[in-house]
Amino acid sequence: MDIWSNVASMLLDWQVIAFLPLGVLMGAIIGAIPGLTITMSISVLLPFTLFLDPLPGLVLIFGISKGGLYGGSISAILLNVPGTPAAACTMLDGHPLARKGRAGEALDAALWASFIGDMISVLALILLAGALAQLGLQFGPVELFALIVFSLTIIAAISNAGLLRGMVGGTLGLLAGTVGLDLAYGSERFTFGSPNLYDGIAFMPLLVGLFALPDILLYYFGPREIHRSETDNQTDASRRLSLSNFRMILPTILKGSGIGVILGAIPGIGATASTFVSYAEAKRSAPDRAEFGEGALSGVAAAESANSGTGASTLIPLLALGIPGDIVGAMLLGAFYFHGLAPGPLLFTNNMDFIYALYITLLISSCIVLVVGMYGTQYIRRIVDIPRDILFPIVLMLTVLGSFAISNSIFDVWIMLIAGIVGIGFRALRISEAAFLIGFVLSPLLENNMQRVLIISRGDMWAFFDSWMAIFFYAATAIAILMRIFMPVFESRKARLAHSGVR
Amino acid sequence: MIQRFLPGLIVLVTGVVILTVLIPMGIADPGFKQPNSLAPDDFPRYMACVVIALGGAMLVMDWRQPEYAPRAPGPFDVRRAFPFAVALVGTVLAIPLIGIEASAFMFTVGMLVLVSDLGWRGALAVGVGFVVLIHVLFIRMAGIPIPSTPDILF
Repeated sequence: MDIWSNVASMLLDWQVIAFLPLGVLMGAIIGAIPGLTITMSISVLLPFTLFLDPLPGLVLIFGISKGGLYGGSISAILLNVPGTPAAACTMLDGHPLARKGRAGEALDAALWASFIGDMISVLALILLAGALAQLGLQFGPVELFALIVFSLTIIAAISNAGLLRGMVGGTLGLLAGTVGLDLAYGSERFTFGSPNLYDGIAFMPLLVGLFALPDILLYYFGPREIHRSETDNQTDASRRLSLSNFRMILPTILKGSGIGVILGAIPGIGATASTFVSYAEAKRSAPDRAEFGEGALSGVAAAESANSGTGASTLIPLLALGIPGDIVGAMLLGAFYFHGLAPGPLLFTNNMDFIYALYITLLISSCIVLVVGMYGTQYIRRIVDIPRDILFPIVLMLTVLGSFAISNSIFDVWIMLIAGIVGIGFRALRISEAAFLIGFVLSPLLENNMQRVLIISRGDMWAFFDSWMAIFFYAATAIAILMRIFMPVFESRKARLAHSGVR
Repeated sequence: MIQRFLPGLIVLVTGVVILTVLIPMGIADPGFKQPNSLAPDDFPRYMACVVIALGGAMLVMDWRQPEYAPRAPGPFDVRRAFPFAVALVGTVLAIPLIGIEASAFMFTVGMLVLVSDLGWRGALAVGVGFVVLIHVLFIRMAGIPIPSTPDILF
């Protein structure tokens, strides 16, 4: 009974009540503006949430993430510009529908698919995270070491940059994570006498620099772009989705949500890949599959349900095991640590009231997405066309303000600016920034568990294989690497055979 | 041709520099080492070796698969980039001296006047609105400890 009164008092905090809808609304607007990504906006706003209590701060971030997943579909459907990478599939059928005068139907299909996908995702989180955390309680240093190696490899293997560049990003992240005082001896590592680096490279300035700055810096480093209004060809969005069409797309939504939940829970896959898998499945099985590419409601529903289906399921490995599944997960892990909360099995033992409150806010925010979508889309579509010339100076000042505010130090602002230049370098060399960030976050955990295994086993290297669970993770790691290497070879051979068969 | 090998070469050189220069110079020796444990420089050294191996692998792959060659991050216009960089660095340096509101106002209005099509009035309106938002939302309500112009001036 006591736990529920704690939950109620957390939920009735004015900050939670205010930031729940505010986060979703901000996310929907940001997600709808082409050129502003969810990762960019979360990285800009995350430092400010650290001055709030843990729940309101996290609620704001979750709201931005959820609203952003839906908001991306608005510009994809109306402007033929995906607001987020994951909305690219929505654009394939959403914009042709808008050009046929069925923009309202497409937006409704996207909204309901987002809502149902998100709800199923939150329910999966509620059902699975606790069970996985129970399993996680049995993990010792050997299993944790193997799990981190598995997660880092999967993230590298699936990254768009390719296996090798993903691994380079992850390893450089692990190296960057060693800056500061050594865990066992207290020796200075790569601080070069600077007390600002004793606690390591500050997470927030690094995050802001890597994910928010490169786009802005590259915009100002290049020649000026003439802003062309994208909203000239706005179409009528008053026509709504009929009940019969909703019934038609419902199985696709449920299937897409399932795909999003399953793929989202695997570290590294994330929303973009899930939407493409769901879209391909719907193209094979949906009732209106003949219209795919020319304006099929099922195409929009498949992409959006999978997109939102990943929303909460990416939190399963984060909350249960403390392993971030994607960039947003890594950002949230940093936020949890900053608030004195360590995601993982012990969070479920020591902070159950917090977990329940988080679950309830996630469910409420799904409903807020529905309300914002039903009544706010017509207003959001009017403000998505803000030129970057106006947007970027403001965003840039917010990044400076956020980085400075963390420790009231100009040093962190320089860290942010250097990280921005490094981020541009990563893009030029096609090295994965996501793998770098996750490597950076997991570095102390990996080294600490490696240290513990060696001390407990008295230096016996076989101790790293002294557990069936660890062997399972190593085997999964090896399979992921082999699949990444050999799948393209098999596919090109298959394509060559098909090509010669046609000839 | 050489450009194709640039990413692998940069990664390889980075790994070698970390292993041979940064680790010996940047990690303090604790003077003793517990048996069967990692010394402060062990983990970074292992990672540097992995970076070198990956750099070598990238060189081989970039030789066999030229489609992974580096790409220019975007066009570069020094007439725009240099004043922007100076303005940004100047703004950062000005924060402790004149506070965030004045620094943000000057930077925002300057960028809007010089780069956007807003004009003076629009730029001033956006600049004032943004500064008021910073002051009310971040400094007064959220209590973020950052040098504030009213506190410095008055």
